[in-house]
Amino acid sequence: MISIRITGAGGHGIVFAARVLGSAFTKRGFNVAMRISYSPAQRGGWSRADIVISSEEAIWNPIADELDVLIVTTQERYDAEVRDVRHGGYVIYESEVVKPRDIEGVEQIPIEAFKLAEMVAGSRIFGNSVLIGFFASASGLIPLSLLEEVMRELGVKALDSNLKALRVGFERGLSVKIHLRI
Amino acid sequence: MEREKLLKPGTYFMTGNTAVAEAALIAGCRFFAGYPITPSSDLMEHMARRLPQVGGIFIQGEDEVAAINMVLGASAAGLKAMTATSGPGLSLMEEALGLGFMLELPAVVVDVQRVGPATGIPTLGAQGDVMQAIWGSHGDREVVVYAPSNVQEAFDLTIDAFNTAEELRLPVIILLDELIGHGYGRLRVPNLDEIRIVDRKKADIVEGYMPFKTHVLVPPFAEPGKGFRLHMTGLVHDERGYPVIDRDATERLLTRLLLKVRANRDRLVSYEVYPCDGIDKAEVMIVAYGSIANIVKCALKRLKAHGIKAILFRPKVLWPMPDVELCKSVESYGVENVLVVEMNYGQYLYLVRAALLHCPTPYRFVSITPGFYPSPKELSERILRVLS
Repeated sequence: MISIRITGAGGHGIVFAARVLGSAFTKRGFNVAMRISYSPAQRGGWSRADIVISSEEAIWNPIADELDVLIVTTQERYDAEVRDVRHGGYVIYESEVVKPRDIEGVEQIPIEAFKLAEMVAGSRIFGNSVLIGFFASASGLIPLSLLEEVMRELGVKALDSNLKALRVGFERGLSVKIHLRI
Repeated sequence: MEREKLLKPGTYFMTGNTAVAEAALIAGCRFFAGYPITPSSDLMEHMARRLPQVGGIFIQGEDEVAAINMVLGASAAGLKAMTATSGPGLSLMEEALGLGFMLELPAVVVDVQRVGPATGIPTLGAQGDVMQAIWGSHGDREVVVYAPSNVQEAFDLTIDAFNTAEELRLPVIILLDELIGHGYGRLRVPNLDEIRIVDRKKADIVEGYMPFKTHVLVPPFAEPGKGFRLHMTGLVHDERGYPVIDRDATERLLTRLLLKVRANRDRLVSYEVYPCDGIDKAEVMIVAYGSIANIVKCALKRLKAHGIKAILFRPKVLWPMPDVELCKSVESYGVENVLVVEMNYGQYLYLVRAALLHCPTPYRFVSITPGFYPSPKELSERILRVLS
């Protein structure tokens, strides 16, 4: 079983990114439970998705004791949620906006998702796709073709731009190794 | 044509609310009236988008009272009908649910529970509507209350809910909570031919038709426009449907209505004992349902690590209650302690207490603060404290 949290500001496409990951894991045959939470503010609030992936059939529980992976796109969410990462777990952070602090036993991996999205897809709003591509290849858990298939099936707006961002994230992730076992 | 627009067989990753809506369409629901309320609004929005595609009707009412009465009206006209709401909306609908019971109109009411009382916390889930779902209407009325605990079950039990409503001609309730309603999970949809769909039995002889006359608890339904003479009233009525003040007629009507659920109790009851194999003895039996039951399942492993052999007894149908089955399980597993875990301050607890009335096994209660789901670790620590 592994637990992943994606969190950031409302508008960062957190829920979308989580839906793509969750759908991809489902297609791989895993049992996936996902919970969405967000702050009450309509603008300027935070957004969070918790995904628990397991090979056990009988349990649907998106609430984990601790996180294996935290993917984070704002300093505020980093500060609030990094403590939930387990010893030996990982943080993938948007390196332009998040300044991490030293945490023993947690590997913290930077990725300039917003900048890369702007470069390859013309807008920072595709940063979420960079992040999921990055996670997928770094963890080795989801092939690029499966993520592309899911994005097409979800009827994503601006599909081409999202796919470009996804691919650049995936490429960057190839040089990083995240060790996770479901 | 319509059938082609239904959810195709396959594996999906979707929310509990969407799964309920899609199951309703497959079950034959072609009318939805509702009034938006978090955390059920997205179920309604999904129906607003999907119903016209399958030739159905969607109406947003001016409030919940209007919505439930429209649902009853549509059902009286022969359509399978549904509404979805949350706790405050269910409170408003309760009077009409009693009317639906009296008029013998099939209907499915989904309550995606949130923190109450009053407006509470709209965006966070809870299990505070158990009592109002079972007992909410005035007078003696029976209802069937389903409590799915994951996305797949939300789908499966919605099909069951429609079938029960049609077969017994009465309103039924599906209790979700925010975690399942908004939560995503895996849904496997079988071939549509493999899904059992029940339609209400229809009357075929117009001559001498008595709308509420039956020897088999559930009278056949008169389709409007087919020449049947029909009178419906919430007043106590005779077999023609006309109001009466008569002891025998009152007794006959009310007992027949109640027996629809009571006499079918064994068929309606549904529960799970987890883990289902490898255990023949357990010191502790935890009674939990809905989303909380999942966290209990995860907590069982932690309890085992502390040397406590525990099992979960999970009603999938809260009412009618699997009380006899609960007692039998307590005996057969040699249970020394029963523990009720709910996200409220004690509701199903009272029914468990009544079920265990003649059982010497002590019971205890773990109340989870509405809205704030514990992790399996937190829950197991709470359980350990209560047991010690």
